[in-house]
Amino acid sequence: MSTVPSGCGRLEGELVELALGTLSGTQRATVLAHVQGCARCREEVERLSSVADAVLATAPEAEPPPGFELRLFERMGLSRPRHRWAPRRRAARVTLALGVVAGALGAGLGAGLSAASGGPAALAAPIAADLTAQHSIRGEVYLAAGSPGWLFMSVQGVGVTGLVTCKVRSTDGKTATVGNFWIQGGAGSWAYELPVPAAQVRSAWIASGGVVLASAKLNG
Amino acid sequence: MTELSDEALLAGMAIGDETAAIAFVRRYQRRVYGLALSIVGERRAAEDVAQDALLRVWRHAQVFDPRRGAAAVWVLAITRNLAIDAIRVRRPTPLDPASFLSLGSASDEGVPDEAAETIDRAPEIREALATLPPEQRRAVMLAVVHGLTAADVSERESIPLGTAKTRIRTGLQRLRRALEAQVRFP
Repeated sequence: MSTVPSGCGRLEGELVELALGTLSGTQRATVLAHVQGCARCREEVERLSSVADAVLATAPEAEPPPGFELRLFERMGLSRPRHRWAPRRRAARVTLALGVVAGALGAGLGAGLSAASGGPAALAAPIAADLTAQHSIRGEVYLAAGSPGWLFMSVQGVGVTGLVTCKVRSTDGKTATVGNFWIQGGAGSWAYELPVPAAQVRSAWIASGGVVLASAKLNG
Repeated sequence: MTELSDEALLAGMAIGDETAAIAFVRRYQRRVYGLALSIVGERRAAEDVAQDALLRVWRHAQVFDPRRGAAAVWVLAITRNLAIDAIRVRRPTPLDPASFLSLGSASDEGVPDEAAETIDRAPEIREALATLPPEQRRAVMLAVVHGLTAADVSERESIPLGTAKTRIRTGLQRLRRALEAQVRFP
């Protein structure tokens, strides 16, 4: 049974093709114009897209041919890794977090970076803390000093899908918003510039609908 | 603590972090290669597609927007599109869509939670696909996996255009209902 309003019935087939990405340019523009003004058709397209994504996810796995990895890494311009990455080691995560933050400073990831932003050499040792909720660890927070400073947050197991707000409180008691970020299946991670100096951040947390999902104490 | 999410690795890749790229490739290469192989049907071509897909992810990681969907969906869509381009050049008629379901099954071993959420639906989707009438299942697979338009499906299956549209639409709607019976879509 269709969930498309009866008045939109003539577009039913086109909604399917819009969701699958197989509409031609002219048709696509026409259907998009309708969908933008019709909440129910928009929802129908989103649902059909979710089904198509799920069908694609049933793709069988297969072992690539020998040498696949090395050939790919050469094409990517990567140095040949001698060891498998050990993601569960905190040190490795700190390195990656620093890499994200330092690289972001260099590459301009995020909004409003100044040309005077420092490179990796300008970064002090990171400030790290576990993100917790009800005495359980829900992720990690790293702060990197700099101008601006950076926050890297990784979270999982908070049980929501949707936008969450990441905030920090500084030592003077003021609260500032870092940004709004998407969490899928209770998990997400992001790196973003801090609205206050890293050394002044006393706590950081994420909230959804005014409810704090997880928080971390920083700087002692 | 579990390992870093796909999104964290993509954030690292976006700014050139090699460690993140290596971890991401090792996490996804079997799925990307498996999807490519199931579409192009030939190992050498599948390797080319899989390499191109992962290379594209590496080069364009900065445009990935997690608000628009999971990383797994983005990566598999890139792979599918490249595979479709490849078979348009190499093979006038797509591989039999039944091969997609018969090669094996996706695994969520070693995959972080948010990617696993997409993969977790795989058994239900496979089960639901198996309950569709064969002609609907073929139409859905040709449209979703092989990227055929309704007109393409009509021509390939030698059926009227309206019938092709109906098969695709009805098949997807049945799949959706089957999934919604288990998990509410966001």
